[in-house]
Amino acid sequence: MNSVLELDHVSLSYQGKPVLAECSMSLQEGDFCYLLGPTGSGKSSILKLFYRETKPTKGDVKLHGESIQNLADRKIPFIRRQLGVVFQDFQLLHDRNVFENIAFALRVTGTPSSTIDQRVKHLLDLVGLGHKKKEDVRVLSGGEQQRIAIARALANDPDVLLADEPTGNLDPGASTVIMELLHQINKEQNVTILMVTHDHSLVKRYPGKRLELKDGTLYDPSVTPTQRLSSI
Amino acid sequence: MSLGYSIKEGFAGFGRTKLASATSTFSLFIAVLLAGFLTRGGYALYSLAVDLTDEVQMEIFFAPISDDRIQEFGDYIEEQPWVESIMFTSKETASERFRAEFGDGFGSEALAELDFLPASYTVTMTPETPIEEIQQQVERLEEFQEVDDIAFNAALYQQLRSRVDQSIWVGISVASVILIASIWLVFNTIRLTIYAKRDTIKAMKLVGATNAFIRRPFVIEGVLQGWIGSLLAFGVLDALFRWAVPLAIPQMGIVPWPLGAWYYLALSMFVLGTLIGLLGSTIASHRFIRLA
Ligand SMILES: Nc1ncnc2c1ncn2[C@@H]1O[C@H](COP(=O)(O)OP(=O)(O)O)[C@@H](O)[C@H]1O
Ligand SMILES: [Mg+2]
Repeated sequence: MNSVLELDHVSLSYQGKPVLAECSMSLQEGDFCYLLGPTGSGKSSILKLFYRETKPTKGDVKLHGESIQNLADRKIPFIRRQLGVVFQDFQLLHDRNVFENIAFALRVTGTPSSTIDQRVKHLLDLVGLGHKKKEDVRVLSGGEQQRIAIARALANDPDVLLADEPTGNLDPGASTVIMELLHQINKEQNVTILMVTHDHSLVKRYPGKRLELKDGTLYDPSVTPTQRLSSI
Repeated sequence: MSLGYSIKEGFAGFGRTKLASATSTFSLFIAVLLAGFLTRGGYALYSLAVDLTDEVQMEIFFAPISDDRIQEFGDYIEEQPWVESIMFTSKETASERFRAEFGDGFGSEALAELDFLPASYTVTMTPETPIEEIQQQVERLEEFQEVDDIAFNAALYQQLRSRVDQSIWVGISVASVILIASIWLVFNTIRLTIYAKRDTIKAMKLVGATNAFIRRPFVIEGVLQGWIGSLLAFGVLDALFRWAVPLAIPQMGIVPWPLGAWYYLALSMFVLGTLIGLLGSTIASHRFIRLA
């Protein structure tokens, strides 16, 4: 099996301050993986490594088996078209309506207008907001805004979705809707998902792979420390 | 990537950050208006000074020699590189003029008969010739036996010439300062606009927009500001010279258009405004979109 997302002995420091030390991980196509750990442990930084917002101080960051940390800056946009990213604070554009918020992700990649109309309609139906196409995004609820953000992330048909605490700002009801949606995307479209969360109850209700980050090291919490030692 | 999208965004951007766009368009308008005003006013003053300079001529008076010799000498002078044209005045013509001016009384006829009025050439100099050379030429020509005297008002000529040169330099300097200042203003406006839109830019980058794609609407916005600013500037310039200047300085009348037609200046102002907008926004978007 090919690994879709991979860290190979990755270390990261910000201005000399170490955040990640020799972290390794590998996700296969179709995985749904949670990334857990206390605040400030470096979870968001791991996602940033994959969408090339940050470069590692040491080690390899691989997307579909290709190292991306040494890519020229002008190639970053093309990496990002293979990934969808969603955040806790949605990061929608408040000066545009729902349709435009999704459509601009397609314009950016040069999709023809006729295709854009169809594609946006399809994405809105997927997230169950087909009837809100013309709404101002600011009047939508948090859960609805996150669904629009997910639709935007999926616009260019990526095979990986990175989600940084996507339910962090949502009430339990809305969180459930988002989790159902993410699992549906994972199952039906075989999109590999790496999701940062604090919410252990969600992890229990929607089981998946788990990675935990603590003191700069990444480990699989389902494996006991002795097993871990013997695997080295 | 669709250009239609960039143009639409450029126009939309103009509307989204109204205050910044208005400020930038206004400063651009002022810059282009000042440049236009300087050009039109400066050109008028310049052509006036050049006309005056042309009127300062040199007169070469001849000793009593044969007409053939004078003719030969005229041919020689006309060949000189510092000479633009010459005009011959014969003794007879000079006498007639004298008579026409002073009448026949006071024994002037007798004086004319005495043959005291010499034949002469009136020489117009080429404007590029430096004053020092003209003076050297005067000294050289005075050495010739055929030449009786040379009349040339060097001081006046020099003053007029240096005025023209000065005004060209002042014009160029003022225009450069205005140009740089307005590019800087557009640059700063686009920088502010980019700052105001950093969330949009961040989101665009996140979904894989290239920097060139993100830049384009900002550049179009800058060009649009240039167009609006320069069209307004031309309108106001026309109104100024049509109504305000004649009202303030009635003896000036309507100042002529440079090169004789309105469209040369109109086109130059339009091109200038477009360039300022283009340059300011291109520099700003190159510098700041990368950082957003
Ligand atoms: N751009 C940055 N510059 C300097 N320090 C940073 C930067 N981004 C994150 N950090 C620091 O790195 C550590 C990990 O941050 P982050 O990856 O956001 O953690 P998490 O998402 O787990 O809360 C924190 O201590 C944070 O302050
Ligand atoms: Mg975080």
